This record gives sequence, C-alpha cells and structure tokens, in this order.
Amino acid sequence: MKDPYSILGVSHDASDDEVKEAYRNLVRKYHPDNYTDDNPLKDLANEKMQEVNEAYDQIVKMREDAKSGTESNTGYTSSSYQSDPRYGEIRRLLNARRFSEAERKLNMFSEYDCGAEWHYLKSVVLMHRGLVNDAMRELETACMMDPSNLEYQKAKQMFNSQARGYGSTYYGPASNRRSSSAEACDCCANLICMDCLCECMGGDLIPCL
Amino acid sequence: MFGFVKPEQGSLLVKEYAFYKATYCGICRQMKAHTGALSPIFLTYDSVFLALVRMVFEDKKEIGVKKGRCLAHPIKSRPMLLPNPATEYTAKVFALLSYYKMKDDLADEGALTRIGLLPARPVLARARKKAGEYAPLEAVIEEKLSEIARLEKEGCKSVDTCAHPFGELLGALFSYGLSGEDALVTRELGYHLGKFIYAADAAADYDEDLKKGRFNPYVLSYDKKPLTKENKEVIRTALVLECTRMEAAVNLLDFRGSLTLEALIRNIIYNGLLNRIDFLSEKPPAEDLLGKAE
Repeated sequence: MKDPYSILGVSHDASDDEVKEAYRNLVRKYHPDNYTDDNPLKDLANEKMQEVNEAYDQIVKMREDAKSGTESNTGYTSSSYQSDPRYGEIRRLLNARRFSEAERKLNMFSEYDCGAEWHYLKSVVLMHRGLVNDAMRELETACMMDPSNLEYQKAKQMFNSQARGYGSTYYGPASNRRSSSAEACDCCANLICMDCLCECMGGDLIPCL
Repeated sequence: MFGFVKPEQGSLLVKEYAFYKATYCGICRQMKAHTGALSPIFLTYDSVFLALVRMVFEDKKEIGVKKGRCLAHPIKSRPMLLPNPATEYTAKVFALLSYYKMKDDLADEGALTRIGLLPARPVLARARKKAGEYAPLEAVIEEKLSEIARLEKEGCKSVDTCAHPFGELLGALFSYGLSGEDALVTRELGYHLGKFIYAADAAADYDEDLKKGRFNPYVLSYDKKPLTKENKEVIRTALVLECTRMEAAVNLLDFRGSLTLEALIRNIIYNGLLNRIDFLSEKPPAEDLLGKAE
C-alpha cells in the first residue's frame, strides 16, 4: 500500500492544517464536477478521488490514535473511520431532536478530525437553529469532501428545491402568479355555479349539492 | 447597507405601485416635518417597507392620500400619504438609524469617506435630537451596531453570527411598541430581513472586499478564494432559505383585510429581495420578460 502522505503530497511532519489544505486542493482537482459523463478521464478521476479520500482518512486516524496513545491499534481500515462510533451517537441524538447535546458532541472533535460526515452533521444542527448561511456552507464542504455520498447530495438538493419553490404558495388576488391550485378553486366554483344553473332548469349536475 | 428592499414594479398592479410611491412621498414629508428640512436626503426605499408593515396595524381610516407638490418635484403634483403614525414612526426611526450608521462610518471608514460624511453630521445630529422620544430603541441601535463592529474587528467568519445583531436590530425596529402576536410576528420578519440584508450585502461585496482586503465573513469562510458558480449557488440557496422564514412570518401576519398592503409586502419579500440576489445565479435575463411555464 502506498504511503498516504505521498498521495497527498505532504511530508510526514506536515501540520494538521497543511494536510487538510493539501487534501482540499486535491479534492477540488479531482472533483467529479470537473469531469462530465462523456469525459474518458472520468473513471480515472474517480479512482484518484477515492485514493485521496482513503489517504486522508488514514492520516487522520493515525494521528488521532497517536494522540490518544492507542498506537497498538494499527489494524486500521478506512471503513472503520467512516463508521466512527461518535457519529452514530450524534445521529441518535439528532433523531431524538436533542440538538444542543449533538452540537456539544460535535464541538468536541478536534479540527483535523472533521471529515465530511462531521460537516454534514454540523449543518443539520445549524439548520435546525435557523443559521441557514452557516449550515449551507457546512453542507457544501461535506459534499465537496465526499461527493459520492448520496445522503449529503440529497440534503443539498432538498434545500435547493425548497429555495426554488419559494413564494409559490401565494395566490393573492393582486399576484401575477397563476397557479394550478388557484385554477382548481376556480374549477370548483364553476362546477357549483353550473350545478345551480342546472337546478334552476329542473335538472341536477351534482346530485349531492 | 441600505436601499435595496424594493418591490418589483412590473409585478404590481398600477394602484399598488401608486400606493408604494405615495408612501415614499409620505415618509419624505414626515422627515421634513419631524427630523429637519434636510433630513430627507437620507431617505431610502428600505424605509418604505417598514412603513408598509407598520401601516398594517393602523386604523385604515387614518391612512389617506392626497395629491401635492414638493420642492424636489415642483412641476407635477403626485399622490402622497397624509401624515399617519406609521410614516411618522418610520421617519424618526430611520433618522436615528442613519445617525448611528454615520457615526459608525466616521469611526472606521477611510479618510476620504470621512470627509465626505462630515456635512451629514449636523443634519443627522439634529434629526436624532428631534426623534428623541425613542430612547429605548436608540439604546438597541447603538448596542447592536457596536456588536457588529466588534465581530468585524474580531474577524468572525460565520455569516450568521455577523448578521445576527443586525437581524435583532431590525426585529426591534419592526416590533417596537406592538404587543402580543403582532410583536412576535413583526420581530421575526424584521430579524430575518436584517439577516438577509447583511448577508446579501456581504455576498454582493465579495469581489471588492476580497481585492481590497476588507472584512467580509464570506471571504473568510471561503478561504479568500474567488467564488465559483457552485459556491454562489450555495450562498443563494441559503439566502432564499432566509426568505422562506420571512414568508413564514408574513403568513402569520394579520393584514386586517388590506389587500394592497399584503400585495406590496409579499411582492417585496418574494420578488424584490430575489431580484437583489440575482447576481448569484446565471439565468437568462429574457426569462423574466417572457414569463415562465410552471
């Protein structure tokens, strides 16, 4: 297996910030958005991206272990990082709507420890507190760090479509908007009107009215 | 920071736009009457939105329109609102706001701007004195503006944190003197409008602030790199989400049957504010003229 530091192009004694910076730059470089579906280099870029993600995860894990003094635990796999038990706990708190506890837990992470999932969970907390600008920024970071993650993409799309639908619920009389539901009301009114007319003539269009 | 909370004229009925303009003139009149003859030069379109919201709570009989001329428009007489408590409040409060804004700018802008601002000083100082009855509000304005100045000095990179005091400030302006539900709803509306204004303003100044090395929370949170199309889209979505919170507040506002006020307020928060952040999206300009299929 290749040395994760050489994949990121940093030396072994690079600071956490330098590692993070290098990682971000590489992610930007290999980001799927730069490679459209018909681009023959797409698969290669994906491979590179995966390599970079794994290398970063590995460095983060190694440094964390070094810090907490559990160096004996060398059997690291990238999946064990992704299923960090702390995230599971935070997700449980979020599901239970205990947002402030979840945020406290998130804030306990050290800075170099903050992977895509951290940014995603943070954005959930911020969004709940109504801090929409910061929340969208965190979500953007999460999507950028792990572009293949469907959960993050789905959240982003949800907010985008919420933003697109903005203002469309107003069907005021002075509005220039023509909406299907306003027309639906008109349709009902017309039917009732027709029914009345028919009844005048001795018939009945809608028996229950 | 001021001057872009405007309606989209093309989407208003003619009578609604006429009422909007009459309100603008009405506030101008009130400024002349209450805060000094020269104070209307600080009048902005944002103030009209405040007056519109406050008028929702006035007795409709108090709101009258009359045609008249003024110094700035001596030839053609135009409709203007007769004095009412909402426009009087707006005139005074904006005089206060302009005064403290100027004081802030004097403290931290460059020498050139400072000299440019000097003539404004006596005018606004006088206006502030005349609007003296709102002492509690004045304290809030001073406190929130200095909070913003402090955050900017600290180089805070969270847009929401920086925008929060300005939101609270507008929340206080919108809800002052109201009670119960009305106060709650208007505070929420003002809060998110304030946050929107602050954030949209910062986003609009991104390139300039980046070039000149001035404080801007977006510049800091994007690591002083130029914004990509995707970044802009994310910022835009966040700003529209801020608008959806304004909408949620307006949906709870009891308009007391005033269709014109409701149409204007909704037009401003739906169309007006979105037009303001058009620079964040790349849509063909013709779309608006042709209308779009739902």
